[in-house]
Amino acid sequence: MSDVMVIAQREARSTGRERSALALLVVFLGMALLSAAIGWSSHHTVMNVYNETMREMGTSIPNPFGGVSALDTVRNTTIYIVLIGALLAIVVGVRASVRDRKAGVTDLIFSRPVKLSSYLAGKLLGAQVWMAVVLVVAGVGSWFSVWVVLGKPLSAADTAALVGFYALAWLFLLPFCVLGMVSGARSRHESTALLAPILIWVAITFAVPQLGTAQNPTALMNPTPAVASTNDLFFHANKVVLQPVSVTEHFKHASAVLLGLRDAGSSSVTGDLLSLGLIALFSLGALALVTRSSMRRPLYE
Amino acid sequence: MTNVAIRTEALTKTYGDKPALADLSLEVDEGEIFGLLGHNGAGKTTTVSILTTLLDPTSGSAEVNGHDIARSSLDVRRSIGYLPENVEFYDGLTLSENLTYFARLSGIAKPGPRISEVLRFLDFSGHEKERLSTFSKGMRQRVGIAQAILHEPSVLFLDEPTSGLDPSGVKMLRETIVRLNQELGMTIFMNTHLLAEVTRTCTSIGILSAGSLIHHDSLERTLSSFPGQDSLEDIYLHIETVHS
Repeated sequence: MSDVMVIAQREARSTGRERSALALLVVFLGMALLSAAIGWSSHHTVMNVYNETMREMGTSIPNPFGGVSALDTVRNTTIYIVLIGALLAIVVGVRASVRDRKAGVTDLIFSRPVKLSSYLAGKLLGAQVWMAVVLVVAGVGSWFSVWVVLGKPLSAADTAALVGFYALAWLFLLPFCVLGMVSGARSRHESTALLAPILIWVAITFAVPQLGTAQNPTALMNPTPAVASTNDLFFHANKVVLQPVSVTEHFKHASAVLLGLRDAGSSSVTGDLLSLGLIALFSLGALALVTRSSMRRPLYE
Repeated sequence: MTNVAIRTEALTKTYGDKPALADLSLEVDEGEIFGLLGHNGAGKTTTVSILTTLLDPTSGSAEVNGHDIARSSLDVRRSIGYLPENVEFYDGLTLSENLTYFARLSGIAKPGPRISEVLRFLDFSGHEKERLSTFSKGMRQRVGIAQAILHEPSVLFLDEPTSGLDPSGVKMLRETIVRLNQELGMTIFMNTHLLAEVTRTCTSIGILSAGSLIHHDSLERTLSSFPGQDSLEDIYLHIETVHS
């Protein structure tokens, strides 16, 4: 077994044993199920209004859910991944770096014939394997919850779309995990290690879209990206500059198209996938900021 | 003819303007138990950190088992074992899990039989399923020795190995060090400031003072070269006074 696999295996097992990580897994699964419950509730309410209107007015108006994807039921999962998932990835990433520094085993590890690159690759792989487990559990939860809500299992095409959505979520969460790892490896204090990437996450998730595509504050909580509420030049310029790095907006748009949501907007996701892929790739380069000496530095509470 | 296990040439390490190690040149032959003595802050841990490739020197060079520490650091690490001062492990894991992890990182594909062999050698069998959080300082030092020798290194670096141990722990560790040298033929490089331990275990010594090597000779010659001094402690203080 290669060094990378040995470290990845240890990392995935260690993460899985931690209470905080398990608590976040439960919360994440709960959110996935809640998303279906909210979907069912809104569907049920709108259909009641529709049926009532049809009965009282006696006219034929289009069914608001006609032609809507079955996956529209779990549309809110997108926003939970942007909010809860990204935080989970940051925590998992920070813990991956901090664990060895806190345990005081980095000197023992680096006195073994292990390259720093293998060590970091193993750590990231282990953390991302665990993230994949979380997403698979959430995905299975989503699949069964839609079955329960709609009374029939998802079709093969919808199942494939759901798998694609969670695969995209894995890619979207990768930079946050790396961000946590880098912060955990370079910070002198455990609290700073967690706080710094959370501040960056706040900026990426809220400030960047706010300055560009989602001036309407409530749009940030919507599972689909919102168009600018004004054509003001300032916002338009910001949009042009910030759109490539609006990672959450790219994820929301690509997810909306994949899930077939009714307000997905443009059907092309090439630009979104390109941005998400490039940002993930760029984030891997940030691992170069981690050095053996930074990992060997004492970590204060 | 005796081969040289460790050779350093003008090894220097500075932190900003502050020198931690200055022009250290020494040779340690294969099969020796070498004790590097010095006060706290003399540069002992810096020396071991450089020789185990954990730290890069500012200048100078060093070879361990014929491998250059800068150009062939992975080869150096393959051929050495290392026990840091205040060794730490994953406390939530069992002894077996900890040793399996470090054995795999050392390139041992199936560590089970080798772990059993090492634990038998250290007379430490029977604790495999226990978590390290329940271990005493002395037990942890033995685990530290176990992880350091799993891959059968030819040179073992020990940084203050008896630090914080009770008298029985010190005796056990001293006996273990001698057995590793005599039964397994390992060269031992040991940092310490406990002169009584050096007298009982080492075959040669070096004395570091403010980052500079001020004495290097066999223990036997050192003891016989200072007839007016009663003990190694007196000799150590005498050498330090002369060089200060």
